[in-house]
Amino acid sequence: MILEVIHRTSYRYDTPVHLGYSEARLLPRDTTHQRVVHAELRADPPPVDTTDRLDHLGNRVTYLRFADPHDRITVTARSVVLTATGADRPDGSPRPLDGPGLLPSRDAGTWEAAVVPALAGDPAIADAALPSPLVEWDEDVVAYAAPSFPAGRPLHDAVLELTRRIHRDFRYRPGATTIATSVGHVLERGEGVCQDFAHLAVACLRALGLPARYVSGYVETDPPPGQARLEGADASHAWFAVHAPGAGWLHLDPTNDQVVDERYVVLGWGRDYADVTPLKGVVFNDGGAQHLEVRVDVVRHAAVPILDGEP
Amino acid sequence: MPVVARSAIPGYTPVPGRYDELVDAPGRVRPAWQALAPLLGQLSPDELRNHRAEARRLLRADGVTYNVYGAPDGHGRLWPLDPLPSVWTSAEWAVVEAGVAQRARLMAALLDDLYAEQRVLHERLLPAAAVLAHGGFVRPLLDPERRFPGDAVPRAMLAATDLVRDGDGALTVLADRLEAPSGWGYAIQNRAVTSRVVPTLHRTLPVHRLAPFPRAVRAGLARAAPNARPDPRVVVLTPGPYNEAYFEHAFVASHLGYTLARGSDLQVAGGRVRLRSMGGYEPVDVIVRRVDTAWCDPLELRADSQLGVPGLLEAVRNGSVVVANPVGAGVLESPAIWPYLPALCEELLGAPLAIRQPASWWCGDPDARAHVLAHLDELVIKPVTPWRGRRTVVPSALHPVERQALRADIRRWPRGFTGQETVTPGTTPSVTPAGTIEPRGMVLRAFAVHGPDGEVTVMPGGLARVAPSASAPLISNQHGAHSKDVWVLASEPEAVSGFWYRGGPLVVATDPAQALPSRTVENLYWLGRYAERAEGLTRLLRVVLERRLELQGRLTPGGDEALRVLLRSVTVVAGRYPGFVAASDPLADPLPELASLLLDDADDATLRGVSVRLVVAADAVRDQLGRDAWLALDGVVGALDRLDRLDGGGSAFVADALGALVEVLVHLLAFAGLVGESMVRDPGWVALDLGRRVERAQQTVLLLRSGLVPVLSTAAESLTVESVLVAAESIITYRRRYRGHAQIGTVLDLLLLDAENPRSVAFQLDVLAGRLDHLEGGRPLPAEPGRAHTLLARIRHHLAGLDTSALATPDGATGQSEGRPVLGDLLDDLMTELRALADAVEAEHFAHVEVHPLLLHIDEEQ
Repeated sequence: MILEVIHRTSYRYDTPVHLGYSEARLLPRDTTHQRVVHAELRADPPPVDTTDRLDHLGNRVTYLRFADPHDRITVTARSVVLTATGADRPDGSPRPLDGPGLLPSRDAGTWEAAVVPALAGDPAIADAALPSPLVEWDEDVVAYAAPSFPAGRPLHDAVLELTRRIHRDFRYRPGATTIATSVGHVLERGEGVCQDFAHLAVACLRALGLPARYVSGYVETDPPPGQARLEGADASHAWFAVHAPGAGWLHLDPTNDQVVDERYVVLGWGRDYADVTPLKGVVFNDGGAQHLEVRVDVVRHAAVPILDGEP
Repeated sequence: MPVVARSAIPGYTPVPGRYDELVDAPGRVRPAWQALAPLLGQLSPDELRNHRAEARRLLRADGVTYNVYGAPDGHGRLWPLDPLPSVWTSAEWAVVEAGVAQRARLMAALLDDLYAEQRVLHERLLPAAAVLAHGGFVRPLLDPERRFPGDAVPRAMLAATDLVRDGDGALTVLADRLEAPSGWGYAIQNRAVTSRVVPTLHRTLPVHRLAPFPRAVRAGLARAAPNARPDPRVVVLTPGPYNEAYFEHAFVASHLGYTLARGSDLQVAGGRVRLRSMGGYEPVDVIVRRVDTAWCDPLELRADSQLGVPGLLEAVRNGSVVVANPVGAGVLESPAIWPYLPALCEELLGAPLAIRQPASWWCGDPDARAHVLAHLDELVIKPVTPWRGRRTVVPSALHPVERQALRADIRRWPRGFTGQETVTPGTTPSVTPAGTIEPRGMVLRAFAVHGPDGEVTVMPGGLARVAPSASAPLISNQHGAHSKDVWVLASEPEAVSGFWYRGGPLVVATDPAQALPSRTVENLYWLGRYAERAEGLTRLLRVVLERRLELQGRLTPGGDEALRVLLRSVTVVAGRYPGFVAASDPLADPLPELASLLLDDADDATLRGVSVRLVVAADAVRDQLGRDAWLALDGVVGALDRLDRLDGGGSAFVADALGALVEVLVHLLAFAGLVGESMVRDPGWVALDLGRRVERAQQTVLLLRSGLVPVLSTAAESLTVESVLVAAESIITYRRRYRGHAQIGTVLDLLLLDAENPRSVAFQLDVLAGRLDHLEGGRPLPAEPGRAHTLLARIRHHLAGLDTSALATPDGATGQSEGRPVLGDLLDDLMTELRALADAVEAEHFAHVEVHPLLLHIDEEQ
């Protein structure tokens, strides 16, 4: 599938900003089932300094410094991505678009076999099982996760059921929470948005000792006629991934109760939202409020679009 | 070994089962103390108490302070010092030196690996979670493939190690400090004070000098500069005067000749860190970091930090700046890695740990957790990351309920705890407040620095801390511990090395304007204003109190009339309304208001309030002022502190107050003298003097306005005029010049217009013009003169055309408070213009655009 993503973020400030620093994670990365054909980031006013790098997880990061006084700033990321169905595969081989089975078979093992040993040596796996700034848990989280993880159950069944239960038990309600809302609070309120559901799933998995990631990305905005439009389509989206030994990271979307497939574009992943915040920054001005406007469009194309014009 | 009886030091009894530094179990004096013990035994309790007091006096004179968090009087506490040193023989110290150097090397090697290949994690020499669960591990600096150019430079590092001697006297490591180790500046200060308090003891022994250590620090930092830049610009990044060890930050900066900077003084641009200085923006090569990692960069670390520099991590990654200690070094302090250090040392350095450490168990390992839970009462429990409200606890000292809660916590968050064998610190002789010498538990902090060629230098001395009482469980400054100097005895004459003096081509001096942060210059301006305001207020209060003592209750003609005017003058000059201005009769019970003008400190319109602000302003520029400045400034507040509040005894208070005012004045004059005679004429001094001139011009105008505009009886007027001249410090000149005839016109000549009188308004304006030119000297000429220049020219022009004899002529009858309305209007106008001038000077030269970092709170879905 060929997906074009245009993600435009605008800030308006009550008093002019004379100096600003931003860090953007708005350009998608390559994965085993995703090839980035084109990716560019523009800002208006243009930054005085800008650098690109990969962070320690391989996510693309853009550092921006703004030094011209401005009371409005717009950051636009535009990318074209070829996607294929399937979870990341450790051997790097692409899965066929219409291939069978999106998850490893039940033979892949029980969920207990995926639990990270206390003295694990692989830092990437060990890190994914630890609490992180936005993902901490208590007994309530453990109690919520438990019914999906009876002893000996295949990981495949357990995580699919957890995904389905979160979708069923929680109401999608924009504005119900902020990014500072804790997992415990989301559990208590029974509502939230995709970030909250991803954090909750990650917390449930880590509480059981399973390595889990928070994934930032997009889902196709306008599905073909006859298919349901998915939640989170007009903004950046988020889901989770769990590591199955020998199979790699399995991506699941609890907001829509979906296995992540070719309709999804991955921006990057980390321990939680704080590791992959699409755009964050520090600005210097004389105070006053800021006003935010975000628009995301994910459009399916039959062929790679011509990209020489302004987005 | 000569045996000295226990009675050599009367009453000194070591604690059974603990190693004592002075005597062994049978009571024999140990080798390190052979020479000192007899001298010590001769000191009487009175002498020892005097030594303690003398140490306090010297520390106070040098302004050596530290801050205690969360205590109402926690700011600016005097650094506590026990005058007796901890003494080590050369052989004993050799063990410390080798062990501490080894540990510093181990920590550097470990840090290097943890932020790059993480070989020790992959090879399971250290469980990954033991590192990753620590709050101080900075993922944005993780560079598995060593792609950051920043890694090409050796990591500069200062290491501190806390050591004790266990029951057998064997050295044991208690903790490592690598995040932002503090203490070596205090250690040098301790030496300076101890060697003065007990000079006989100090001279008796061949004590190693500490000076080579700061030189090694300097050399290490200079060498660490990116791309081996010669003469790198180094700054000390401090959180500011409210940090626990701010004194040391300023001390280190001024001792090593670095610029003391706060986060707001630094800015990242073009990928480089720059210092905002009077000379513009100066690139910074090395940052001595005293701001904790989490607060260093609000862009990538804690977004709510006002102490950091946004973009700092970007500059670290691109290699344009070296931070010492490296951002993220705090992970090395994690108790979780302790159990693995012996094996890591073998692996990374190929040798066993030279100094033992207590056996420890990280609870993230299930076997270790089982051991800890089974032996809880024999252990100390340390939280892996201390900043979650958790502290080190001694389970055996806990209430059973707390102990139960601790067990539950360990089971729930095993990775968050390390259990450690308890160690009872050995003791050392300490002077108690009563003047006796008693054994107290001691922790030694030793310091090591990585040098230019990778060698490690250990300070031949250190910072010892002793428990406040025989039974205190913890030894820390935050818990009332006292510090001690550490004397290492040289076995042979000290090789002199690392001279400050060096041959070769002359070193190019740094441009003073480039080394001064704009904030520092601004603080110096306010220092000048407060110093002058304090001085003016002191003189006026003194003359008013003298007049009151002299005139009260006596039938001096005009006495009451003059006193009323003078009291109102105090209100006007201090700017503390309504005060005497609103009082129907200022003479009715004036003492409470006078006492309040002296002693309240709620705002900057009282003498104490001004003095306190003066000290705060000085503290903010501590690195710019010499030691003697504290001698002077401390005396100012000290004199007011000693003055009791007004408790009924009116005349006693006036006499005491006069005494205090004289003392305050002496110290303010000493400070002024120091500024005049010892400060180099750089933009900082210019700013300080500018502040002084701005303030003096305003005070003089206010004094004239309140003192000379009312028309009084001749007797009263001559008393007021004389008092005004005394308060303006011009009475001698006036008497000599005008042969004792008091006239308003001539007073105006002398105090407004006389360009030769350093107390006159005209004189201040002339000096101001010169100072402004100096400050603007290095800058490109603006298209038109600045507002301050324009205002200044206007005021000078204004003054030049005055007819003072016309101004002095009364317009109304005797007794009118606005009896000279033309003069009143003129002085009001002048005051308005001077205030506008001050505003313009501040706006053009000192007012930073106050910047408020604001977090872009991105919540795109919500």
